[in-house]
Amino acid sequence: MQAMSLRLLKYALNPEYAEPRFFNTPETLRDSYDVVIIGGGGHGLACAYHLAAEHGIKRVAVIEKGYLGGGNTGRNTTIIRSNYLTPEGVLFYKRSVELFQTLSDRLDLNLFFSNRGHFTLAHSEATLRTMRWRAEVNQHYGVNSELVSAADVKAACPQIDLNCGGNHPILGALYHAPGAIARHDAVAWGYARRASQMGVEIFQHTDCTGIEIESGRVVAVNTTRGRIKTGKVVSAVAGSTPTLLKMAGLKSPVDIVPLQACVSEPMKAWLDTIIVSGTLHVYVSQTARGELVMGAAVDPAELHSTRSSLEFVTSLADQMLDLFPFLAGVKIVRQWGGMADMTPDFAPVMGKTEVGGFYLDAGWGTWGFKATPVCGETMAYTVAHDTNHRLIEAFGMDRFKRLAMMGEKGAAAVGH
Amino acid sequence: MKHFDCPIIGRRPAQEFICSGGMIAIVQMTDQDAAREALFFGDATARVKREWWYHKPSRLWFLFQRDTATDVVHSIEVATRVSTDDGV
Amino acid sequence: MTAYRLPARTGEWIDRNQTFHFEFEGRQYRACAGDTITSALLANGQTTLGRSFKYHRPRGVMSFANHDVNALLETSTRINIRGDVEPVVEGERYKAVNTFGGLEKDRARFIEKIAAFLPTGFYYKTFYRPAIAFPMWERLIRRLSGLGRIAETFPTTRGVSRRLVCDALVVGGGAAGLAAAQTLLAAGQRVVLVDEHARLGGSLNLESRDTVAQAWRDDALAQLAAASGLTTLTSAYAAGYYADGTVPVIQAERMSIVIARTVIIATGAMAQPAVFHNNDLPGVMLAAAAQRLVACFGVAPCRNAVILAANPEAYEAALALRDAGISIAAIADLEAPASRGPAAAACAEAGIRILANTQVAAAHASAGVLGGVTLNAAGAAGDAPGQHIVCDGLLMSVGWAPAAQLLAQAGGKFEFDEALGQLRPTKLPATVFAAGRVNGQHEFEARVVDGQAAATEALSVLGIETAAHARPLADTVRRSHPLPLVEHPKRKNFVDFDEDLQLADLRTSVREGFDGVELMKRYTTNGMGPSQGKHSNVNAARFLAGELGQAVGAVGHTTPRPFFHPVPMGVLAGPRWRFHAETPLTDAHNALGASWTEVGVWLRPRHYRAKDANTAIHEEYQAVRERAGFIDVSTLGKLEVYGPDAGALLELVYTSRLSRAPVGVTRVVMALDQRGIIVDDGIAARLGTHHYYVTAGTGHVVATCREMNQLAALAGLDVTVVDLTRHWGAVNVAGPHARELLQPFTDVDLSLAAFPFPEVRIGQVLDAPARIMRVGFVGESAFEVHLPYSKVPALWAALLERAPSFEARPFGVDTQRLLRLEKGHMIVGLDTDGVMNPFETPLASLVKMDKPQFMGRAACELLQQNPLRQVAGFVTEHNDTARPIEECHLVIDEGRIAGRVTSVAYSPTLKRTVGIAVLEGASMAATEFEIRVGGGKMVRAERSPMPFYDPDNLRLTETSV
Repeated sequence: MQAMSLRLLKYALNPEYAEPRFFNTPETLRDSYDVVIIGGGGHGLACAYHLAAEHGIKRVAVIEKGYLGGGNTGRNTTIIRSNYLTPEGVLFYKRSVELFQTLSDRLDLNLFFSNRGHFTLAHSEATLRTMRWRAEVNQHYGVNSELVSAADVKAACPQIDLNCGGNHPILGALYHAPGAIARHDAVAWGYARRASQMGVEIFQHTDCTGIEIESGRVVAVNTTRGRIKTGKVVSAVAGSTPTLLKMAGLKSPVDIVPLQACVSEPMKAWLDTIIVSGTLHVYVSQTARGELVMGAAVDPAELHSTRSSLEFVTSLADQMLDLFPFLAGVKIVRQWGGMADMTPDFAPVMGKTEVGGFYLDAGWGTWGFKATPVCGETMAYTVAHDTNHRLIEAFGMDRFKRLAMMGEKGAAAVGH
Repeated sequence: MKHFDCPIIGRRPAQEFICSGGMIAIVQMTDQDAAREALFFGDATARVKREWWYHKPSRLWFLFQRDTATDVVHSIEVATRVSTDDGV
Repeated sequence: MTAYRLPARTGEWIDRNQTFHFEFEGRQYRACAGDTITSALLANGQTTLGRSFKYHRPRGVMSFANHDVNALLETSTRINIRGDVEPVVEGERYKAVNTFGGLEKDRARFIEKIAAFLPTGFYYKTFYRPAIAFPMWERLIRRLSGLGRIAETFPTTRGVSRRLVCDALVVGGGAAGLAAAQTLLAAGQRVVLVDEHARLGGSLNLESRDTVAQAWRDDALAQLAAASGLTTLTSAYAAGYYADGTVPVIQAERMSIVIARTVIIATGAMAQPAVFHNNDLPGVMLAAAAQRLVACFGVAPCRNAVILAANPEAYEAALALRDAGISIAAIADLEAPASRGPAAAACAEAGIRILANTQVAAAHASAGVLGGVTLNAAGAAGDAPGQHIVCDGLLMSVGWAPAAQLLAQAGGKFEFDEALGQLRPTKLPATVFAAGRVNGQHEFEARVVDGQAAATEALSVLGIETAAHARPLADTVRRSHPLPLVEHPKRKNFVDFDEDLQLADLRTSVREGFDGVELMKRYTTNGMGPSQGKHSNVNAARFLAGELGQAVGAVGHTTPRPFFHPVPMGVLAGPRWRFHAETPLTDAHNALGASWTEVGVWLRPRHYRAKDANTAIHEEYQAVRERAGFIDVSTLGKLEVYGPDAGALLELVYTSRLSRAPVGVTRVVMALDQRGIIVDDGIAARLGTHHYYVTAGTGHVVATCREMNQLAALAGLDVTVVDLTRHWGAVNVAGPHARELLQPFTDVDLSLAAFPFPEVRIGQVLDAPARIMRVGFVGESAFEVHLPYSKVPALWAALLERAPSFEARPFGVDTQRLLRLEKGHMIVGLDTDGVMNPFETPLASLVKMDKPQFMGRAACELLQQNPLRQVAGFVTEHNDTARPIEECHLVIDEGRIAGRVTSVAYSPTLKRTVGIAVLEGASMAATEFEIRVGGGKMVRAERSPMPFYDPDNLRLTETSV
């Protein structure tokens, strides 16, 4: 408390005082780096941070083709949870939630990590069954999720229409107490700043143009700022994954599909929890600023674009009014999109690849933001030791060659 | 609303369609190893792709040549016998 | 007439003959019909309209064009009402949003005293240590944040939606838009013309001194009123540009989705504020706002004004306002008046005091509103000495930003025009055109010509050749000052009024490394408020360029996204269309007291006459096992497949072998997806050599039908597939006396000798054509009758009437589930999931790998070698109703998850609990295992072969031993 007040005091007394730059912006690339991370979003920056902080690897370059955090990190709806279906998923995201809970302190930046509780509404017997399944698996691993009744939903969110306008009424929900939201941009900034402080170099507006491989190992990365010699490359580029993998001569089971979201005008706080409906394909939370941030399912066809569509926002409004009819007069201010790198089994693709020194962090579909911290931790470990971290062993790309898909899709409709 | 100018059915809104991608051709592949590979691994970069699109009201299948970067559809034809030599 | 209402003038938008009262902040005011809330309040001399979001500073009218939200109000049924543009409603009670104790005595106004502690991004640097304190801070922040206050009692009205198809959409009804519309209509095109104000005319409505322009406008409006092929939408804004020229146009309660072959954007330019100390006081506004208030609403925004000028428009404004009786104390021109054209000369001649190279350094408050300004040398520091002028209005005309959001959304490219001082579009898609101020043309004649030229370009795209109008020469008069920003040690020089952002905040952002337009926006929240940067983006970009030593064009701009103005969710949603699919027996089921359940879009009866569910199920069960029962299975998917390649198609779709089945026989079929996952099952009945009737899962039949059509196309098969799901119904009659119950109603010989299991017969049931299949789902002798929808009720009624003589009864889905469970029949989607393949289940026998091709075959080759799980039947003595075994309870082996239960029920015949489970990994072969039920209690279960009931299917096949 004291340190924070001191900072504000300094500012108040000296209007010219500003904090030091959050992240460096070096002009020129060095000749070589120990690790080159392609992708300056939350995942890439978290990996850089962990490499420097936990493995003493600081001669790291982060290459970002746009502005820092400008990809999916800056476009998601910021929901953080660990109520997944598979044991591997639960353990993975559980670790991420744990890391998130102390991340503001660790990064010395308020990420507005707000524990709100998370309801996945069930509108049918079949969904209720699946919620029970998730609750059982969660509880087995010590994750606080439980199946609750419609009355419980109403008690936590009195404004909800349990009847949903008359079709598909809410029968119950999976309640996940650790569910939270955070300020997505700040997560990227926080990791970037700490990584920068430890010597990581971040190059924005720098495109990767090629990856050089000799005898099955990475030897260099070509960028619009020049060539970098390196023996370790991390790809954390979400929607650009297919393009980058092509440079490395790899294929992945990732398909790129637009994912859209929108935000309402700010209003006084009324929604204290996070509401997700699989049947209605919508989810909503209210930010500290008072805006409702809303999203739905991915678009139905492949497209490498962040364009917005009218169908998305009219369909979302239609469904949202079933849950909260009184929002009819509330206005949507802005809609945007990102490119989701979807996998066939709704689980990521992570770790070592067939190319020596080329590490993949992809397949984040609609579930990437919440995994930011654990990705940083596990990918950094994987890169430092050239061995897959145990939490990501199940996410290797080779599972598809064995036709051993992860079971997250077992029940999933809208994955938020 | 995006619209598609199709043979037989004319100009129809995109919402009347379902995109099924190109995986259907795998069922005809004789090399089972290659077929299993194609199940998951393909070229997912942005480019012009041949895709199967289904028009729900008329139950007709069409083949689109669509640019997955710009969403521009270059050609649409009714899907009839399709040879796997064309590639997916 | 109220205090600040001017004498009536021609062309005004208000009707002085219709006046009424309304309430604002508890006080009564008088308004005229046609007033907006802001104009009505200003007419009454109420210049303070709201409190700012963060510092709760008093705010008044600024843009009067919906480019700021200083006047944001709420009522008991609506929030975030934009006072500048919303018509005032008689008797309505308005309040300013986000005050604590009312507008005047807002308790939160003291926040300003600690403003120094709240720089931009302060919240990133505070409140998170100790971590347990954050929720408390967050609660406080949440209470202070947010604008209007919503309640569940708010109206739930949805809007109306329609489509408008046209050849050309013209967005903007000013000079350029009207000219474009005229040209298009003259060429016989269907045109939709849209303007966000209550009347057409755009800035022509403000150029009251230009009689030529006024006459042109009146003439154009008269022409358009008489034209055919024109749809005009006023008080309507184009919310965004979507793919293929789709533009939703929003009016109060309605959305018109315009689908246009060409789109002309003539949306004009947005006047931009200057930045100086206290530039947010009520009384400081854009000169264009003052002009609009005077010309359209007959309201004097002030009595004595100083004008801050950096373009010719400022001088036009001065003259217009002076004509209306407002005194102009001085015009402070940031540069030299000589460059401002004839209007400046006219001002000098009229004796208006003009100060060259002069800026407003600071505005000063008097009783909370503007009382005067300090002027000093342009470019000097804000606190450098200067002269003080008393005034109650400071009108700014220092620059423009093109309203180019739709052009950007359409994929347009822009360049910063240094001469003009504004962004101009340089490259647009082939069907999109820009005209008028948004295109960099500010002079009246040039706007008209630009509109005509854009229209002829559009006509060319529409395939109509006309005499081409050339675009006018580029406007080279600079109308936007490069840097109308003045630093001041006391700050309070606002760039973004929505977000209460001062110059110092932008500087902090740049110093802390957020030195690109996007990062600066996200860190400071500039442009992220309800106005989305309309009045702040340009100044922020100019500031950033200055800090970085770059040209403003090089700094770029953030992405304009839909919507241009926010759109209510009810309007977007449109009417609510939902449906339940019903079988023909809905009334009959209700008459029997059915309890309903939703299965996808269908409603199905769970059981009948529910005194309590368990009793009902038990009685229905007994009937089926011992006598007879009948169930409505009309929701089943039904596909008619016929043609020379019908058999070949089914071989491709299903894993089973069908082509060798004789006519008159049914086969169980299973479908996989390409990856070998079970997706559907059913019965395929061979009705003829090239004719099959196939049932499919209720929830999957649409996909199955679609896939059949796809495979037929892929393989070039000569086959037709028809989905009969909603055209034919089905009733399943099951039990030892099923035959006797059904026989009188059909000419088909149901005797065992004539009709063994598992065959199919075609015949008549009552007077309907029907197909009868012997199926085995519930484990008794059963006849499933398929017949046209309209004939189902008659059959049901007949069965009901005859039922008592056999003590037979109808049964529902719950009973059916129990019956089939006793037979160990898996239900796809209940006992299978998104990863299960057939080799992990008893259905493996349905996979005929010797078939050369079928969906999923390639995957099956690998999957059959290495199943990861096994479906197994189990029995258990556990029968505790307090802690029953439920579906999805987990199988636990030495503390690890080893599987789960997918179906479970107490079997009345076997007098124990039976179920189906999935066992994983090392537990696949377990002969006994433990299930964890509620409360963590562990229950022992024994693996059991299936079926549990009648394991040799004797009852089903009516085989005597």
